[in-house]
Formats: sequence, C-alpha cells, structure tokens
Amino acid sequence: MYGWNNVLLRVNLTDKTVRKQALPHELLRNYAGQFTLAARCWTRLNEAGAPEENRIVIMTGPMTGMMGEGTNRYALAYQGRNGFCTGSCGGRFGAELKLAGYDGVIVEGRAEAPVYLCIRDGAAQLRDASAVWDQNVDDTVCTLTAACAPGAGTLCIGQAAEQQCAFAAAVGDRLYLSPGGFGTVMGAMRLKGVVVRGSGAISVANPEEYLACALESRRRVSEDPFAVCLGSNEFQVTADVLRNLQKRPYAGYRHAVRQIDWRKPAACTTVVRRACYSCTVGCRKCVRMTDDTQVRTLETPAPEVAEVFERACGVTTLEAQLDAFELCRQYGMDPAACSCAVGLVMRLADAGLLASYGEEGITFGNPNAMVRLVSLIGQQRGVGALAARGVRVMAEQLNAAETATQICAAVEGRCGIASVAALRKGSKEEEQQLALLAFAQDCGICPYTAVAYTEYLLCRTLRAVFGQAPETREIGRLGAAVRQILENQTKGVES
Amino acid sequence: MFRQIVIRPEACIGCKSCALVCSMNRTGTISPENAAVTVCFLKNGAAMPMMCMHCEEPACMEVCPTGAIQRDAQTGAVVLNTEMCIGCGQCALRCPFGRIHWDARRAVMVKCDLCGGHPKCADICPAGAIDFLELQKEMDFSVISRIGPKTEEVE
Repeated sequence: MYGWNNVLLRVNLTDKTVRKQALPHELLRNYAGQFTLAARCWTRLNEAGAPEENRIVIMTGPMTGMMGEGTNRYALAYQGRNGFCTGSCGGRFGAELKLAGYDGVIVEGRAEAPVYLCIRDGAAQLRDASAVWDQNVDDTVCTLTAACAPGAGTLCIGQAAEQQCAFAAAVGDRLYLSPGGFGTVMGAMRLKGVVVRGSGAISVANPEEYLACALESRRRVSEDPFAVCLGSNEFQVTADVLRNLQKRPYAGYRHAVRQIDWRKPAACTTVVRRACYSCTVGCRKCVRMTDDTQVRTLETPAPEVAEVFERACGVTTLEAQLDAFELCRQYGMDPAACSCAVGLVMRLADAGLLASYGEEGITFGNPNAMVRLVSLIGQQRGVGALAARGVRVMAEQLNAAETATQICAAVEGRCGIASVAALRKGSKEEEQQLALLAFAQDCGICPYTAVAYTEYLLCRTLRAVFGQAPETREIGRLGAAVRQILENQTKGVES
Repeated sequence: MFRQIVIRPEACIGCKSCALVCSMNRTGTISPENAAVTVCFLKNGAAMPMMCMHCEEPACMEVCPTGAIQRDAQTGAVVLNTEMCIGCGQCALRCPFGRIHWDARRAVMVKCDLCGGHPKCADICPAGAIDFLELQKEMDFSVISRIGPKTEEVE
C-alpha cells in the first residue's frame, strides 16, 4: 500500500524478543492517521489482555517521511499517571523509521538491565545500554549514533527519566521533547533510547502530482507571514503578523509569538536555525552566547513553551531562561511541568515551608535560584527530589493546593502544541480550521506548518499518495473525530 | 562561463529538502539515501549539504575505466552515462567529497548531473544554503572561516 510499509515492530523487553508484525490493511483503510492508529493499537493490546503499564507505542502518520511541508511528526502513546496519553514529536526520527521499513514500534515489558533499541533498515536488535545509563541526552545521542549508525534519528531519555521524575520527557533528535511522562515510562522500562536509520524508499501512487502538491505546500508556507516570522533570526514580531494571528484560533500560535519576540540577547553572536525533516520554517534556533569568560551554545525551546519559566517563576532574564531550557533538554524534562514545579518550590520557599531542606537564596523571580532548582530536579537532589514528583504530589504533601493551581493556571495551555485541550471553542469557521488542523496533524504534519495546507491541497496530496482520498467535505468530520480522540486522551497528561 | 553549485554550510537548516527533491526527481520515490545530494549532520546538531562539486580536474573522470564519466559541454557538469557504467565503484573511491555512491535497488551509480543545467536542489533550498551561480573572482570562498563557528566534527 502506497505511503505505508504495513509493518509494525514489536519489541518485548522482558523476554528480549524483537519481531515484525503485519499492520493489517483494514486498520490503514479509512485514512487512519498517527493518533488514531496509536489509539487503535493500544485498544487492541488491551483487549488481548496485555498489561497497560510498561508499554509505549510510537506510530508514524500516512505522510510522515514524505516531502510535503512539515511532514515529520510521529505519535507517542503511553500510560500516563492519569490514564492513556497521546502526543506527537518532530525531528527526523519518524521519517527515518518510515524509511527503515516500519510504520510504528510497540515496546512492552521491562528489561533487567538498561538497553537501547537499534534499528537499521530491516534489522532491529536490543543492545546493552549500561555504558550510557546516567548520561545526559547529548552524550547519549553521540555514543548511540556512533555505535549504531551515523546520522540516525534518535529518541532517548536523560537522567530525569532514569530516576523516575514524574514529568520526564524523551528527547527526539537532541532537540524535540516528547510530552511529559513519556520519558518516565521509558525509564521504568529501562529503555534508554531508540536509534533508527533507514535507507529505504517511500513510493507514492502519482509521483508527478505529489511533487507538484509538495512544492505548492512549500510555496504557501513561504508566503505565510507567521511562518516566515517564526523562522527568522531577528527575534521580532511585526504588527502584520500579530494581526494575522488574531484570526487564528489555535492557542499555540499565540504563545509562539513570545519566542519570536524575544529581544536578541546582547551576548549572542551567532544564530543558527534548526529545522525538522522536510520543514522549511526552521522554528528552532541555536544561539551562541559569548561573554567575558566563556562561549556557550544554547538551543532555544519549542515556540509554544518559550515563556513558561517567565510565567511560572517570574524570571525575566533571557539568559537564565535559556539556561533552564538547556538543562530541561539535557536531563529530559517537560519544560512546562518543570517550570510549574520550580515556581511552586520558589513560592513555598518564600513562605518558609522548605526550611528543612536547607536550601538558601531561593526566592520567587531569582534567576540563579531557578537554574539551580532545574538542575536539582534533573539530578533529584535535595528539594529537587520532592519537586520531581510533580506539582500535584508536592501540593498535597505541603498543603499548597491553592498556590499550585495559580502557577499551573499561569502556564496553562503551554504543555505541548499537540494538546488539543489547549484549543478554545469558537465560531463555525474556527471549528472548521481546527478540524483541518487536527486532521493534518493526524496525517503527520507539524501544526506550525499546517497553515500551508488547505482542505483542497490536503485531499489532493492524499490522492497523489494513495491513489484515493476523502472528499474535501469529509475533512471536517474526520478532523472532529481526531479532536475527540485527542481531547479524551490528553486529559491524562501530567502538568 | 559555466554556472556552478555554491554551498553555504552556515545557512543550512538540515531539512533535507534538497535530498528529497533530488530523489523524487531521479527515482520517483522519496528516498533521501539514494539522492545525489546528502545532508550531513554534525555532532552539535548542525547540518550541511554535500554533493558533487563538478571539479575542475575530476578524479572520478580520470579513473573511470569505460569513460562513462564525461564533462557536459553545454552545462559544464561532470555527468555519468549509466549505459556505459559497469558499476566498478572506482569513481566512488576516488571522489574527495564521497558524493558518488551505489544504489543497490536500481543497480546504478548515483551522481549529480546538475539536473541538465537547472539543479532542483538549488531551487528548493529554503535557507539559501545551495546556490547555482556564475562564479566571480571577488566572491568569498573561505568556507572554513564561515563554517568554523558552526562545526566541530562530523558525526
């Protein structure tokens, strides 16, 4: 079947088995996308009586790995603290997985000793990961890609997940953080990472038509003022873009403005853009900071979480915020949830409730204290061990539910752009836009570049890929169904 | 004067668009591995496109035992005639950029031919990292100085 490999990789860590399983055509029919497929696989496993804990599902969408604008997303499904969760992640991992000949990976069980999964085209094997256990994300990626395949796509965890931090995230390709809690599950399974390199090919039904569609989507995104602004190195938002954003119902876009509008740091000498596979926007930047004493290279966070530390911790210093994000990335923690935890610790320290931990100098809005706390949470030392259990547990233990609610409300809606719960209900036109957005995401397209696709273009692209496609009028219905799935399932995401 | 491919590694964002359009153009499938242009990722996450530079004195052309590699008089590109190619791989071994490789699926050597004088990769690159220009004397070719801040070591 065009666009799909019809193969799932099933890995059991308990008995160390790796096997391929056919992905039935009936599942792929009806234009199933990454979220819907992940949810169906999850339900089927439940029906078969498999235990829900220690299980992750990584699923690509029908257009993941292709050459249209932003076709690089893959869905992640796991059992969060409050139930079944789904989310998506960018980078080049999904594309490599598709090119390696798999549509998805289901990992179950718990390994006796740390392992990582190395997939190189058709061959997949579990390897010992004790050498990289207790290493941060950058070091792990370097070691694993060198041992497995240079230039491979990676999805791995840092120390936070190993030590069962409640909001630990897996990090895709060094930069792209999964939803909080996914890393925790991987850590519990002792799965340090998945490394995948694919050299295969994806066939489409009508290559010429598909190429035309892909170029059209790229042209449209290059003309979109918001996308252009997101990818610029200037860190400034024009009035034009702000007006344009008012028309868009998606909350994530408005939060993204904050990142674009950061004043360019004075100490910043070089800005290098980073893009996911097949994305022309390049919303992530690598900033090189030079001050009197040292030169540091820092990665900017995802646009939708750019302001979380400012909102939750009251810290306005840009350098400190970038430092905090860098620590979140290296330890593998969800920045939104981490900022809430840090904010709560700061508030509680102000109220004198944390005297027994012996931490000094922690006050709300103190940039140095914020960076130190993020580091402590990553290492789970001192008060960090308490904060790593999540805002809710901390609030229950210290009787601070009200403060916790205030802080969570301050960063609400910034917990990952795939969280459809962050969307507000709107007019009929807005509902249509949201349905299109949800459907595009289900196909494997990044929400930021989904502006490049109209209903017509999306259907035309799907027709070029599969030889058949839903009618444009059906998109609304399909998109609404995807939204329903996501809304029901993302409630479990720990914030 | 011939126009030539000019790579600006410092501008590359690593989206692989060049490899995707190249493979689509050559094979009708999406397979960046079998494209004539490859995006190399460095240890620090930076990326840069690598492709045939159509050298002034092409080592691949010299070493080819059947004369399958010749310079195109119209475009100036060093092109591979697949019908004459016997797949011995000598050209791949001699290429200083490592940008000729064997496509096992189609059983051919893969090498950039500048798409007949209109390279698609230069057209599609969203970051201006690949350009197709007429070279002039005053152009800055100090690639090392430009790429220096971005790179450490190839993965």
